[in-house]
Amino acid sequence: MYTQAIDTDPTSRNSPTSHASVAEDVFLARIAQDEKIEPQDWMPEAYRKTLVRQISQHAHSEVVGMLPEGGWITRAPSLRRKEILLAKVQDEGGHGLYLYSAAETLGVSREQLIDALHSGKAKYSSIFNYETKTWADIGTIGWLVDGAAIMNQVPLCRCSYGPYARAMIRICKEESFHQRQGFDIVRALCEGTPEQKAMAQESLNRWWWPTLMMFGPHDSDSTHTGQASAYGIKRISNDDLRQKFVDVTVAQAEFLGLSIPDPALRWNAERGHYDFGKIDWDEFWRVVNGQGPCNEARMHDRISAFEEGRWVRDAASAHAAKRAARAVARAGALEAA
Amino acid sequence: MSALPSQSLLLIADTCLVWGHRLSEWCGHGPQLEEDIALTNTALDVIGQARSLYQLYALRAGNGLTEDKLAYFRGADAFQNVAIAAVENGDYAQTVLRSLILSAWFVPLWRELAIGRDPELAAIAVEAEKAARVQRRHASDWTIRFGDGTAESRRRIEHAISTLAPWVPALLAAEIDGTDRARRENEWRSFIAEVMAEATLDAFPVGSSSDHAFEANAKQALSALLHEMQSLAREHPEAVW
Repeated sequence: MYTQAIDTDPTSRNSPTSHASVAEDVFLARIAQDEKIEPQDWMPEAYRKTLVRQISQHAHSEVVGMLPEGGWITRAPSLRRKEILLAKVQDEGGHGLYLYSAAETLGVSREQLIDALHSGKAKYSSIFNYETKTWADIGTIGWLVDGAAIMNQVPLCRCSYGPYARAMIRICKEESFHQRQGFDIVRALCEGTPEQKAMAQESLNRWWWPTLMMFGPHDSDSTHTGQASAYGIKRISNDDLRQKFVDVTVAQAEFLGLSIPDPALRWNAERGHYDFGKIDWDEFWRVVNGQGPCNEARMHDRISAFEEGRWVRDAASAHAAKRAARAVARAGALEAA
Repeated sequence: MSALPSQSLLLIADTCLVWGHRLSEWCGHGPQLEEDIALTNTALDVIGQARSLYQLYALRAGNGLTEDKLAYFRGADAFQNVAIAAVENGDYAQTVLRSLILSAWFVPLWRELAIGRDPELAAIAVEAEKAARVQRRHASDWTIRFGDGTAESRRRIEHAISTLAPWVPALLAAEIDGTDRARRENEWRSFIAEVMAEATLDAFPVGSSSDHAFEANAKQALSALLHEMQSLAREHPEAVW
């Protein structure tokens, strides 16, 4: 899954061209030639900060994203669905690990990044602040939310920072499986009893607009997009990705026999795209700023897991230190003998 | 071919499912990401084993029985799992210790079934034994870290031992047709003794028989677990998912 990249760090808004150093010219020339930047390479501070923010937002989104679906593992209605969902949520934990590791190559620690999440300084995708009220939501999240994530993430496989681009290649392969399993859950519901079909429609009604918000503010309102594009981090704009998502998803909804909850949705032959209604950006910012249905619950769960796990991590460190001390003592004794 | 009697098949399958359910409750709440992923692996292993065993059971029973009917449409009284599998997770020490107790029991069981007279079950057991060895190593490592870690972790693992020990006699007494119960118990005792020693903990206190009050508690925990697990499936009994 993915986080909408919201620029919350004023230092990252510096134009890359404001640092007219030779090193920066070389750096920008490499980006222009589609070369990968690696951890040992020189990079402007604004580039590093932009990446740390984006990769860590993405990692946090994966880890917080385990919660809304995780709550249905114990209630999945068949053993097959239970196994698939368990594997999917596990994948998200794995994505979090790759991404924290990619961020660590930029000189920050996982602990610092988790602190920033828990203190509210770092953001995660606001989509995970919505409730998963029914089993159909598990299907809809896979179909729409992971579908939107793939739209966002495939271009990141070509992003200029090597460790992030390589992590994204693996993540995208797994997200593709996640999207298909979600679509398959919704398909089964749509082919099932009238109650199951109604469950699928009701879920689509709730998730459609929040999913469109996942692509972030309109290009005209996104200061971040221009800079990230210059750095080769972001390849396609928020609005273009959102349009692509709508165009692809309308046909899928028709196949399923579901109605997209947007009276303004219609094919525009002149543009060759679907027109769609206005997004409620007030809702988007409310949720981003902590007033979504589940913001508090999600942070509570993450912080509790971390704090309640502290003694486990401390025990592992203490035991490792004891073993190391014993090994040193043994080596010393052997030497003395 | 000599098929394992259905009662024994259900005992193993139900134990796997119920234990897997408990492990899956940790998903997203583990003490660190690596552990979250590791616990989920064990949950996937044992739920996968439960599915294979239910499928085998259903195939042999006929009459349109399916894995999901066995998992979702039987009540707690019909479940045959060993009681300790249903006990609530408690803290991470208790979860790890239950995994140690169960995996140390499963390793010799699967090994024996893998070379037993029921070839279809043997095919499942070959893979399951490999998974159980990994689970046993993971749980042993953490038990040792807790016993020989901090004062807090030692207090917690000792508490977990006193909490779970009363369910162990029933586990070790469980008879599974075609397998050697006494040999399984000996191997379990010997493995656990080694882990306790390396963890600098006292010998594991296995009593002589299980207290009926504890059995009743585990049944109550199982009822609550099944109530949650089966809720959606039972709300839509005709649905295909």
